[in-house]
Amino acid sequence: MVVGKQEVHRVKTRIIMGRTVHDDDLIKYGLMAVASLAVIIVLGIIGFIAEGSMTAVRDIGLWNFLNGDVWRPNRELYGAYPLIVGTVLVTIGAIAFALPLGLGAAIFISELAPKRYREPLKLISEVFSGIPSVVYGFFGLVVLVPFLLNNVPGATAGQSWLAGSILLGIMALPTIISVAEDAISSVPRSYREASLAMGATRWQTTSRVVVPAAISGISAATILGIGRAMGETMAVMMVTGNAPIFPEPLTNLMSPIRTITATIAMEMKEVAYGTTHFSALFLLALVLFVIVLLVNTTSRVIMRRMREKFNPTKPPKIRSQRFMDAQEKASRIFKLVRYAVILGVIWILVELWFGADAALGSVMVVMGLMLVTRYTAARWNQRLAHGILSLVMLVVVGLLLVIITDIVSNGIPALSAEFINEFPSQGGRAGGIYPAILGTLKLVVGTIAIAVPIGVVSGIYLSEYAHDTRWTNFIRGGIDNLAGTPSVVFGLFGMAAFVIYLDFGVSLLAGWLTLACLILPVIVRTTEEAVKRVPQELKEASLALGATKWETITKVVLPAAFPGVITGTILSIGRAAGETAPIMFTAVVAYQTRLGDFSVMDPVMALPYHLYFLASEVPDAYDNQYGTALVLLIIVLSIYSAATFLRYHYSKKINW
Amino acid sequence: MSTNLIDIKGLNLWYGENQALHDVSMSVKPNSITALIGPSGCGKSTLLRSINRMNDIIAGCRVEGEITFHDKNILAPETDVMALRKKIGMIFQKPNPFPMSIKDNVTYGPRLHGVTDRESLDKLVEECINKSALWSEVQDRLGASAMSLSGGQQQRLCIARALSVNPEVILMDEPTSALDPIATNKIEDLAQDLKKDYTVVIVTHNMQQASRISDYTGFMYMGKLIEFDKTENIFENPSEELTERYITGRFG
Repeated sequence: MVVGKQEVHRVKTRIIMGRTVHDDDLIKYGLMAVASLAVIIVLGIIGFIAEGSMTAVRDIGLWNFLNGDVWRPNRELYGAYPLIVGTVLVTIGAIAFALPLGLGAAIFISELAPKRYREPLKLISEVFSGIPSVVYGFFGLVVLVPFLLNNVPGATAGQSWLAGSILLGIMALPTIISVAEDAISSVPRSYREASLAMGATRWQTTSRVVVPAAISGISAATILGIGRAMGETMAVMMVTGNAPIFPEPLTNLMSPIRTITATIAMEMKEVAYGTTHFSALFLLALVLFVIVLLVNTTSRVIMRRMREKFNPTKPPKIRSQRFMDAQEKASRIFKLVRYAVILGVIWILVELWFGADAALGSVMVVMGLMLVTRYTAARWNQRLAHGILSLVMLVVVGLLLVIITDIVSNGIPALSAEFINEFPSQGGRAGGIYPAILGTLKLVVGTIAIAVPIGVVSGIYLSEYAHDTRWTNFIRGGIDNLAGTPSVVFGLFGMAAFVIYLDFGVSLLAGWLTLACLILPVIVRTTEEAVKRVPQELKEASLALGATKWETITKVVLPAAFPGVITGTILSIGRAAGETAPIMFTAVVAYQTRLGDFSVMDPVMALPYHLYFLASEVPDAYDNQYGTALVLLIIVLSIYSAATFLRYHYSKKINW
Repeated sequence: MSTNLIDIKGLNLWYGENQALHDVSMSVKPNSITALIGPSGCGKSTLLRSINRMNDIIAGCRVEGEITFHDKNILAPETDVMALRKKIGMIFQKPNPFPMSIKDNVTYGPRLHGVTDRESLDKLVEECINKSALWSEVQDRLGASAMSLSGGQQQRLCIARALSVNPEVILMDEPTSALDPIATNKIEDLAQDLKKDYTVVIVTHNMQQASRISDYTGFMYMGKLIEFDKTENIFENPSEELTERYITGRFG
């Protein structure tokens, strides 16, 4: 058979409005349209939140809002300043807690751990990120808060800045560990060899060459952790006491404190639609959105610079001598500041527990140690440093074990067949959680059905069709921003857009759409990664046989990328099942004792919200709280382990 | 007391199950240049990396035999590896300056080993960069990033960095394989100069280079040292047929 030119033409093109259009182009623009949804969602979020804030801006004034010292809605006082300060303080505390632990663990994993322990240790940090925020909050409320109350001398309440910071710190750990570990292990091996060949010890090499070379990645990790901590809602709301005040004095870690996110989540449920108060909460969300956007953008810029440094595409700038002198001076000052911060943190913590004398003593000891190690043999310093790093790793693993064991051991007595398949009774004190399990299931299934097709198509577009045009960069930016947007902002957006504007009411449908926006970036990114990893040769082999690009994608690329896509989907199921803040105002009710006919317009119960409800409103439902936490943990963690298992299974099977 | 600075006797080395070196024996005279040649994968880099125990950092690497440096067996477990590497410096295949300033690259080693006085560090920087024939090119931008230098300049900076801790021996692992001919020329001239104060062992896949600069040459094949002799003997009158076939380009 002779394949004539005309026949080829006939297969691949069609005529639309008098113009010959290639099928592949048609497909390309179709995919691009779907991928652009991410941008539309971001614009929608900004639009709805900004629109919602207009009343507040008009009634209160932006400056009065940002600068006002008192937040007391029932007196019409809307000063967000204490909330902003609260958010910043809790975040600073969280990073002071998470950075040393996360960095230490990252260094341990990439530089110290024997090869075969490396993957399991990374897995541990992934388990951390799989635990739903409300479970952290619950653990904080029933374990951490009483612990602080009983152990910090003079404490009058356990719900405090410190509790919030510790909890947020634990939650920021996985982000910091995984990004920092990535940065450290991507430092070229040749740097390490060069240093070792000069007679440096391993620790000298790590501390003077490897970590400095990875510093931009480590800063990016820290900033991402900051973004994560700032946007966190449920956990922080459950343990910080939520008093909108400034700590007195400002370093009083045991003072209650209130964050922006907690304010939105607590008050939105009770506020009347259309009031100044209602609008003020939107304005708060807008402020938070902008702050987090700035933080995440900074981290992205730093990451890009780092990639540029190791694989330069342009020649580095020649700096003037004066600039370089200034840079040297700045780095020396920065070093001093770093020591000062470390000593300051030690002071504040020790003083809280043991008083000023002990604080002075321990600061002196640490300073002495810093001084002495300059003169002790490098080998002893290495031993000391490696000892500290191992200890840090132990603490991280220990933290995880404590959380998991506590929930499992206290939750098991509550588990029974009745608990799983009965309705709750006596306000949640008795009975089971059947409707919550079912509701979570319904929420997840619908969310996945909406988000996966859109996400996979967007991912394919970005990896196979998108060139660096302005519009595709715009799409990428949109997806990055979606990924960094705090979940409570999604909640507000969902309420404004789906519950109110589209008039779905608090319903399953509104929950689906809101959660779909939330998990979209996860699916897009994992799909893009998986598709990109399919080797070029495979694609070329198919194209060389005369397949069109689209045929190549559907018949060769997608099957090969399938495991990656599935992994992304499963991860997002876990995310959707564990989130609370986005569904709080869009889809859930606290209590159902019977189920009517299935309708997407009805609200549902959901496990994470049920846990929050029990923990905060029904304090004597001890068994059922733990039972719910355990069921939620089991569901989410088994989803995550399925994803992890799949990934490992296929990464062994497919080797390219 | 032998006249050799380094003596290698009966060296066997395994990477896991793979034996990479078979019963290698050779010696290095002070203030000489010794070249190791052979087809790729023949074990010449492995042999070189045994001399400063850089193979230690490769998991599953096992060594038998003896390498003496100043008549002390450096393979003995009680060897202070850090002190050994200070005495035996190394230049790598690809220039690998640290992502720091030119100056910080050179002061890195001395600082490690306890020099903090700024004046003597400055003096050391000038001295080492001078010795590596780079001074005139970088003296007015010592604070610039080492990454802004060309490949050849980077490699000479790496040499300056190696010199900064005052070694006796410099091991060079195909130091010019990533460089252009002009930069290669400069490194070769430099190696000749360094011979006055240091002992150089160089691995090269470039036979012309070996014949141009070295005093002694060892030819390796499949993990064995086939022949080791004065360079002119190896290239003009090899005693092994394998060596002759290799240097005349009939295999490899």
